[in-house]
Amino acid sequence: MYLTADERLQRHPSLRNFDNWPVIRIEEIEPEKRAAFRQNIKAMQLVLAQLPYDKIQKTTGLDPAQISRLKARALAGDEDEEPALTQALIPYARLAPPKRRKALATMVEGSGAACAFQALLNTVPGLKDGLEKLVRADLADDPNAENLTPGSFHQHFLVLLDRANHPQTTYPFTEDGLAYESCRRYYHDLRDLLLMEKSLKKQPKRIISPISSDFYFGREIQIDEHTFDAHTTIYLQWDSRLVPLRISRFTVLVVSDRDTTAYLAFHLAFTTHCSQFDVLSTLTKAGQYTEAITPTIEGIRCPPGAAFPNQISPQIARVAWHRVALDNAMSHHAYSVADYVCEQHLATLSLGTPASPKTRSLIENAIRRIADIGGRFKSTSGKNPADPHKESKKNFKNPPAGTVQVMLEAIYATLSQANNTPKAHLMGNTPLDVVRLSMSSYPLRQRAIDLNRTQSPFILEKRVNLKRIEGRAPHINFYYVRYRGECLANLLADGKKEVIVQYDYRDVRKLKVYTLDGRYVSEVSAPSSWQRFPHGVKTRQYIHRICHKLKIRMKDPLVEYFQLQLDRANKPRSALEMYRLYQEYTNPDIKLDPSNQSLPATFDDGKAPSESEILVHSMQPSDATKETIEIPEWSTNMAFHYNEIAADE
Amino acid sequence: MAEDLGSSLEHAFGRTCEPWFIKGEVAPCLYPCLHLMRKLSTPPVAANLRVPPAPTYCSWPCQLSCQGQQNRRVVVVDPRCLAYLAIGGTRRGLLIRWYPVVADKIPNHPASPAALRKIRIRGGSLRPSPVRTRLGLRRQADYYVQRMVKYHHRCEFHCLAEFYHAALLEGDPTVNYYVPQPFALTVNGTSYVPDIYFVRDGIQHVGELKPRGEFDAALRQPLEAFFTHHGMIFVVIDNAAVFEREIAAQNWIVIIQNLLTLEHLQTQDAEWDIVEELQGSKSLTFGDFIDVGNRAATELKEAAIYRLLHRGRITANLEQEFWGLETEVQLCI
Repeated sequence: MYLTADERLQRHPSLRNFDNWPVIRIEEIEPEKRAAFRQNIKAMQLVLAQLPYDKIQKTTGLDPAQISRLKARALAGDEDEEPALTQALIPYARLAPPKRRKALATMVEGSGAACAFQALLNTVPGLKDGLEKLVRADLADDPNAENLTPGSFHQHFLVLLDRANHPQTTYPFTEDGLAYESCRRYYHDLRDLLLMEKSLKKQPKRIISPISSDFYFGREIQIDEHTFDAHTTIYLQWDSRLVPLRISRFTVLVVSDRDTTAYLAFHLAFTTHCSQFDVLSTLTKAGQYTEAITPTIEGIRCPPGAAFPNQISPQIARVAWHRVALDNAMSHHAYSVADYVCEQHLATLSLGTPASPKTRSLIENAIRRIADIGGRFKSTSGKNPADPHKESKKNFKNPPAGTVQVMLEAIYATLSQANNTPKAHLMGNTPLDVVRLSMSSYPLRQRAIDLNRTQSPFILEKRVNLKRIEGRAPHINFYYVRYRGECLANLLADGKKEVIVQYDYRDVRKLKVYTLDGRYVSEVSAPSSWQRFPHGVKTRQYIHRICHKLKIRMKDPLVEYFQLQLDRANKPRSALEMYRLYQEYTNPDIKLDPSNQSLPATFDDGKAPSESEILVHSMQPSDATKETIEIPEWSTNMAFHYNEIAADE
Repeated sequence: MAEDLGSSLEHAFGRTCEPWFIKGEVAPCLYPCLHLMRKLSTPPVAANLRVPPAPTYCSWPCQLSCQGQQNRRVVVVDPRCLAYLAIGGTRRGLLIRWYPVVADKIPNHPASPAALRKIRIRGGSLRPSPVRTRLGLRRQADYYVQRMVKYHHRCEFHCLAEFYHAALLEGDPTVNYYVPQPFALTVNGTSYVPDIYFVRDGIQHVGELKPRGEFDAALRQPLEAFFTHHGMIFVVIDNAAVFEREIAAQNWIVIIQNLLTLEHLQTQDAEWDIVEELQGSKSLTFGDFIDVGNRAATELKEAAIYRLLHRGRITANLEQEFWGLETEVQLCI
């Protein structure tokens, strides 16, 4: 029901007191309107005080008609709607949306286009709904929808007018632009409105991360891998000159703690697709006490002291994690990863939902940091094919200057710097400070030292058959190779047909044999051709695959496989594989049996190789190597020796 | 009286209540029957039986289903198969009787042997043992793995609500055993693995966690009948009810992990020490029992506290506050 100003005052007597009206600050009004606004307020206060209009006129200068209009503008209106009140006292303020009162313009009688578009929407049947439907379908990503543009939206507008039999002599056909501009503005307004509506309606489909959580070190550990965005080099010494070889992009794995935002460890996997064992290597690194290192490369500096939490103290390194969050990569679904997390840390393994990186924002931030380092090298592969920072064709022919060691130390220094930088969200503390604080303020769980849980995650078991073939010693077939040992004959004599073998995934030269009831028997060894260097299951599988494909038989498979990679060293992927082999053959984590003289621990010069100066060896055969030609020391020129021997024979 | 009854029936059965139905005299036993019917009634699944949604008097979580209207008779079956109600009408009045379960005599009844035969148990028996999650689901779901205590093996959960629910069962002293993903079934040709099996107060429950507690009725009805047939109760649990107790669930996960870490310790004496200390001072904080600087020295007491909590001998405010050194522990009354 429509209420006049007096009726409104009767219904709401509190409005008679102008102090109850909403306040509009004078600064918010345009300067040229302020005088009129003050005058209107004064007039309204006198009206509310029920002074006669002629007296108000004398005081304010407004004539009675103006006063009456002002009163109606401020107070009259529908009973269900709020009156305009103080807003109505602002001169020329628009209180309601504009509305067209005249009929739409025709060819004969032009009456302007003011508010005509809105009038069209309100009067033409199906026009408003039709346009809204189009935009809704576009926003809903309907498979049959159209990717709308203002132009196409205008075309649809005209089609809908035509369908509604809108006369061709009336607006918008009276305008040159056929109401294109109004249509464009309406399109953008409608789109914004519907988008807002959609975002308000949107409810989370499912809850995938805790809504409220505690705060302590180890509450959530995040891990992810990233292909390092820069090509790097290794150096090969060839006739006393260093030949740089470009290796393909490798993978960096980073572990971080969510609450303290501290980075726990990183690991370089020299392969484009990292495996479960790379993930395990990274996790074990993060849980082991290590000493802080000092960068050797000039120009790379990192803060003194601990760089990662596991360098602070052995107690902190032994803290058991509460939850380990990984993404949906296949390598994370391995049972060995679940074993490590659930048995050694007794923690929760959380693999999350696909395509939801925001739930693990911290680790994605770490990846961004590392990607930034990659972007600083001239050999960067760029973020996309059109990235201007991408390595130029000119440089591609010349291997870049960045070596693996530079990359390694750059990443170490960056993460160390991040761990030692005070952060605002940690109340000005560094992440490492918060880790130290957590130790004293929260009952952090410590991993048990005893029990079987401390077993290395690389130690695996397999059930195999005992083989006895006429004319051959008893053996076990394990990854394409026959393993022999004196114990096997005894086992066969006892009537055993199957045994359990325990092996290190990174070194399968020897296996530990157990009976099915778990009794340790003895060790068995691979043939001497496979004894020279520590090698993992993966290497053996590669070698077997190549032999099978090329239909060849290798005398010394480990060396010949390396030679194969060396022959193709100009290809980045082969160079990368060569580097991986180098790492595997000289893995310091594998404890070599000192009694086995054939195992190499050093290079020709007797020094342990450093990772930056890898493969630095002369291709010329030295006397020393000739002497040990039966079981030579490992070097890049090994295959060369074999060729020489073959030529001599 | 007839009009009152008519409106009650109308309220309970909607359009199936025909005018002839309430003519004549009404048996006095009708009201207790109606009362029972009301207790049974929730929004029905059968198309030809309409009951006003969410009646306030419904206190028993079960469903009514109408199995047909033959010879002017409405048969209402309690899906827990305890009894079924037949309402018949003659020209002289209403006839209402309770019959014991004879499911095979009711056509298309979910508990009839013909219907139950369509539910197959993969793996042979209903002995609860975790069904391994296939890789496709592991990659698609919000997947969690954790070793638990009441089911002392590694458990797989397919969403956070399932994981929290299991953690809350750990803290429930009336539950002494549970198995996540317990059986593999085939219902009408579709593979189905319930979320959890648990034993509460000696009664076997099979639970399914769903957002808003909404579960496909076409699947729910035969499953309810099937598990009732095997002496278990099938319940659909609302995820929201679990997330309401999120802090408690997180606390129980921490307690479980600590229990597992310290499981090798003998804590009988330490437990008595703690009980005596608590008897003396009524309430102490967790920090009063352990030395943060030297955890190894007080690990027996620490393990004892976790074990007493898990057994329900001592209590702490785990519902509102996160577990920590400041958490107060006290003896259960």
